[in-house]
Amino acid sequence: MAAADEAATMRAVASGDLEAYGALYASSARVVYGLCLRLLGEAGAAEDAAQEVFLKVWRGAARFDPERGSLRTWILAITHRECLDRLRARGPAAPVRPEDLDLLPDSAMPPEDEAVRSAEAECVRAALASLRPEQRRALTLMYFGGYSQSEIALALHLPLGTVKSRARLGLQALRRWMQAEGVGARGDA
Amino acid sequence: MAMHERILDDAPAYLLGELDAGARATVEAHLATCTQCRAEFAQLGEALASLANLAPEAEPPDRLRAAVMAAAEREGPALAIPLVTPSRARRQVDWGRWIPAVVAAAAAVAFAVQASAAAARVRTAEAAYHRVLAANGLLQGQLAAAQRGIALSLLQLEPTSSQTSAVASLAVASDADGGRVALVARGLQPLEGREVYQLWYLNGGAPVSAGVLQISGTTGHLQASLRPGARVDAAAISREPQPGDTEPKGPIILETA
Ligand SMILES: [Zn+2]
Repeated sequence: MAAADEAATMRAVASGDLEAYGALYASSARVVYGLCLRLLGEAGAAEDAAQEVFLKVWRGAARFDPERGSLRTWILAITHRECLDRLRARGPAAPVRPEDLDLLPDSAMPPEDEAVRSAEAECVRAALASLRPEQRRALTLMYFGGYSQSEIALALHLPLGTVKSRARLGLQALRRWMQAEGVGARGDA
Repeated sequence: MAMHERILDDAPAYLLGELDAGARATVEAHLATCTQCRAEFAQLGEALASLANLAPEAEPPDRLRAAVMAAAEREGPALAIPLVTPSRARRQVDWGRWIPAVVAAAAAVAFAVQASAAAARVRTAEAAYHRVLAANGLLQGQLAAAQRGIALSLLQLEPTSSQTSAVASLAVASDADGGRVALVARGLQPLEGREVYQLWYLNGGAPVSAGVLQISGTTGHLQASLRPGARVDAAAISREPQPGDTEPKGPIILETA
């Protein structure tokens, strides 16, 4: 969807257009629910979170700004934040899960026969794979594991400053890769 | 230079809503004055958000659609927070509600005392609240608005008593020509007789009525204009025995710090 169409859709949703909202649900439910499932790890929790995400999209539709990025990115950011809040609400004591420690890009990806494998996902996967392993680990623990930098420092026996700089350097490398590939930032803005 | 570096080291934690209030304030103070870091944060935010693409899509249960649609229908149209510059054309002005100075001073003192009592409560809620802001993309909105010379803020109103579970968010968008406020309140108790819920804001110590909430079920909405130069320092919602008052007469049920 072009930026102008996305803006029009969200204006309609903001004004209470249930039909437009239903269409938005149809086009984004799999992505939203998929991310909830990946982050929360359990169907019931993912369903609850996804429902809350769509309510936030409904309430916040007027705040969607097509100049800042695509509708997909906006909704996924809301989804991620919702799940992170829920992960954090589970309590500070959640230990780092071993499977998160070496979360390689491949393990976060659908199998080859999965129907949808977008070009954007391909590119992000390649970008993540290009990072130094310790930078990738810091980022994925934060993003997919919902761990704070202090928790990561504790679990990996590292100074907090080291975790901070790994995450920052990794994120900057990710950004450079994606800019070089022309992904992420909106091209038609 | 060292400052930029320190701020950038906090970028991942900031973007994921992980910083405590003090560290977050430091970052935001720097971003407010440094276009270089602001641009960098925006790009890093996009890069971080792109990681979401790695999660495999999955088919949600059919009942999710029904639940999502029912919730939207129940809520009614969303609150619109205008992010565009308020029109420079002559606006309908409704500023007939300024309180005489003497009354205003007394009311301001009462208001301030109540507000400070709520301050501690509000601070506790602040961390969660900032995550809500970010979740709603408001942070991005703020950056976009700042680039257009519009000040945008969101105030959270908290109950004055533990008897009520009502909450309200007040969005304020303003520039040199004036601005708009938009409010949504949830969990309001039913009114009786001619009662209304009325929104007040403190502008340089004087409470000003922003009007009466439109009620639908337990949800209240209000949108109003601000006159040029007006600031919203604090806000409160009172339950008034009747509409049309120019100062709060009924009990204040929600307020900001
Ligand atoms: Zn800077």
